[in-house]
Amino acid sequence: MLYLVINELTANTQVTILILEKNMATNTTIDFEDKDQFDAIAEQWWNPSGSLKSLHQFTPIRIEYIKNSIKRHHFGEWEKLRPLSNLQILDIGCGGGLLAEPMSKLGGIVTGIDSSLSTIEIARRHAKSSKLEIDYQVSTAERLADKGTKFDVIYASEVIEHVSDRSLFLNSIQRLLEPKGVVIITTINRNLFSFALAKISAEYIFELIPKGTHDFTKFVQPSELRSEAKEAGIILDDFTGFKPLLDGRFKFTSITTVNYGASGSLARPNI
Amino acid sequence: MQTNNIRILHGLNIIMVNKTPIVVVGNGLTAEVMCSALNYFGLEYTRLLSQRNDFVDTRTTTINMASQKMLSRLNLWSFSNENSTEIRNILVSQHKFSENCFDRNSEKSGLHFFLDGEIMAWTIENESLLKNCQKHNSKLPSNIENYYGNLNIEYTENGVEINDIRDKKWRTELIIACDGANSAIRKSAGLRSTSMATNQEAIVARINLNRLHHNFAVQRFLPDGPLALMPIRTQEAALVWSLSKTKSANIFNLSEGEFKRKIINALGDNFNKITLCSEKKIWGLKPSVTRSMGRPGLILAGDSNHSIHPLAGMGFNLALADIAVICDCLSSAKKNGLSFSHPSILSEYRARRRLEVEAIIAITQGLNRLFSYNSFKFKIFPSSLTNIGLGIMDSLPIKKQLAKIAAGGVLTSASLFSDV
Ligand SMILES: Cc1cc2nc3c(=O)[nH]c(=O)nc-3n(C[C@H](O)[C@H](O)[C@H](O)COP(=O)(O)OP(=O)(O)OC[C@H]3O[C@@H](n4cnc5c(N)ncnc54)[C@H](O)[C@@H]3O)c2cc1C
Repeated sequence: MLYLVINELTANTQVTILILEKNMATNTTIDFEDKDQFDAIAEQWWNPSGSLKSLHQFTPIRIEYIKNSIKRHHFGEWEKLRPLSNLQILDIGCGGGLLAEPMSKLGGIVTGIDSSLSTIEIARRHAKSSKLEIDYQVSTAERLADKGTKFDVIYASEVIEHVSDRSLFLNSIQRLLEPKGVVIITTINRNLFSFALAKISAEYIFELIPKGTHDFTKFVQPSELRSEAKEAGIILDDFTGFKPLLDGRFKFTSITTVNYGASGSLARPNI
Repeated sequence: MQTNNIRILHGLNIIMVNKTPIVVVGNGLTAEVMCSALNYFGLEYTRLLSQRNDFVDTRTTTINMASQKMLSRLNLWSFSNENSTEIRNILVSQHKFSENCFDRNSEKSGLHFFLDGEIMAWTIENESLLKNCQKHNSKLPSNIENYYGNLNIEYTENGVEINDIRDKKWRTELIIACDGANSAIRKSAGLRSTSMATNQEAIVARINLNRLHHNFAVQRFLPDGPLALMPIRTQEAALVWSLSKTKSANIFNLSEGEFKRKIINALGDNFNKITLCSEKKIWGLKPSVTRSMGRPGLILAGDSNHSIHPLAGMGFNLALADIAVICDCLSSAKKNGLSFSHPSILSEYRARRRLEVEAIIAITQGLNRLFSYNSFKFKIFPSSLTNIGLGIMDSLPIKKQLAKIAAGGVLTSASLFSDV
C-alpha cells in the first residue's frame, strides 16, 4: 500500500517521501543514512569539476564494461550509431543520470530509479535539457519488481555497496530480468587495499567524493557477490577489475581488488 | 549537415541560437586540419572564422613522417614537387659550414642526422598547405560562419554559450580553440599558461642558394640563437633566424645587401652566391604551454595549447598530434554516448599529449639554452660547454632517439597516425 502511495507521488513533496520511506524500514534495501547524504549532494551531480568529479572520470570505463557485457550476451546492433536501440534498460540507483543519459543516447529505452527525490529531480531536469527521454522514477528495485516490469539489461553501478539487504536486492533484480537478460554490477571491493585506495584516498585525501559516501563495512568481495547472486538465481560469470591510473583514467585489469564489474544472467530463465 | 536553430522571441527581435555539438574557432592551419579530421571521423561541427582576416602566413613548415601520413590520410597532402621538398639530411653545427656541407658522404663537423638516404621530413609553405585545406574543406558538408569582435563565452552545466559583438549566438557542447599562441579563448577562460623566458624573435625569409642543396636542412647555433635553412625545391631555402630582440630589430632593418652579408657571415663564405627571393618578416617567439589543455567545455589545440621555439621545426607537428588525439577522444566519447563536454575527454587528451609536449618543450628549450649561450648562463665557458653538449648528442643512441622523436608518432599514438 505504501508503495502505491509513493509511486503516485510526484515532484513536490520530498519530505513526505522521506517520512514514508523511513516508516517502511523493513522490506527495503535502502540505507537511510546514505540516502540523506546523497540528497545533500544532489545538486553536485552534473558539475564536472565538483565533488563527484571522480565518478565522472569513472564513467567511460563503466560504460565500456556495460557495453561489453551487453555484447557478450548477444544484445545490441553494434554496427549502428545507436547500438542499443529497442533494448529495455534499467539503471538502478541512477543518481543524476551519469550513465542513464549515455545509455539513452546509444538508443536504449532507459528507466532510471533512485530512492532520492531530489536526485531524480536533477536527473529529470538534466535529461530534459539534453533532449533525452528517460523514465526516471523515485523507486526501488523491489518496488519495481512487485509491479512485474521486465528488462533486457539491468545495471547497478556503485550501488551495491550502499544496499543494506543485498539478498533482497539481488532477488529483485532476478525478478526484473527478461529470460535472456543481462545484469551488470559495478562496485568497490572490500579489503584493505580498496579501503586505502578507494575510500581513504578518493574520499578523504583527494576529496573527490564527498566525505562518507562509501561506508567501508558495506564493500563487497567478488566471491561474496558471486555466491549471493547465485543464491538469488543469478550466475555472474565475468569479473573484471578497473584499475585507476595516475592521470585519473581507468583501465581494465584482471585484478579485482579495488573496483570491479561483474556481469551475468539468470541461472534458470524466468517464466 | 543541418544545425539545429532555435529562435527565441525577444520583444520584436528574433534571436537565432545555432546549436551544434562542436565549435572550432581559428583561422590558421590547426583549425583547418582540425575540421578535416573531425569530418573524417564523422563528427559534426561548426567552424567559426574571425572576420579580422589580414593574417598572411609567410612561414614554411617542416612536416615529419607521422604528420605526412596523417595529412595524406585526410586527403590534404596534394603537393606538387614545387610545393613540397624532401629533407633527407639534417646538419647541425655551432661552426660555419664547409664547402662540401651539402655532400652527404663527406666528413662533417657538427651533428649529421640521416636515415640512410630515406626521407626524414618535408618542407612545405604554410600558405600552400592552407590553400589545400581550404579547397578540401570547402567541399565538406559543414557550417562555416563568421564572427565579429571578440567572442563572449559562458561555460554552463548544460553546455557552452557563445556570443559575438553583433549578438550572434551559438550553443555547443565543446569549443576547440585553434586561435594561435595568443589565444583569446584561452585567456577569456582564465586558463593559466606558463611562458618560458626567451627574449627572441625570428626573422623569416626565402633565399636562393644558387647551388643544389641536395635535400639538406642546416642549422647553425649562433651566440644569439639558431639560424636554420630548410630546403625548398632544388636550390632554395627557407631561412628562420632566431635572435635576441635587441639584435633582431637591427638585422631586420638592414638593407638587402647588408642582410645577405650577415647571413654569409653566419653560414660561411661558400654561401656567398645567395640571393633574397622574398621580403623578410619578423615573428615574435614566446614559447608557452598551458598544462590544463582546456577546461570542461573547452579544449586547446595547436599553438593555443603550446607554442614552442621553431629550432626543431616541431610546432605544427605537435598541433597535428593534438588533432589526432582529440579525434580519438571525441569518437570514443561518442561511441560511449557521452556528451563532448564530458570531463573524461579532457583528462584522456591531457594524459595522451603530456609526454610529447613536455619532451619537445624540454628539448627545444634545452638545445636553445645550451647552444645559444648568450641567452643563458653558459656565458662563461661557452665553447667548451657547447662542445661537450654536441659531443654528448653525437653519441649514437641519443642521436637515434632524437631522430625518432623528430620523426613523430613515437611519443604519441593515435589512429590517424596508424597505417591505413
Ligand atoms: C618562425 C617560425 C617558424 C616555424 N617553423 C616551423 C616548422 O618548420 N615546423 C613546424 O612544425 N612548425 C613550425 N613553426 C610553428 C608553426 O608555425 C605553428 O605551430 C603553427 O602555425 C600553429 O598553427 P595554429 O593554427 O595553431 O596557430 P596560428 O598559425 O598562429 O594560427 C592561429 C590563427 O588564428 C587566428 N586568430 C588569432 N587570434 C584569433 C582570434 N581571437 N579569433 C579567431 N582567430 C584568431 C589567426 O588569424 C591565425 O590565423 C614555426 C613557427 C614560427 C614562429
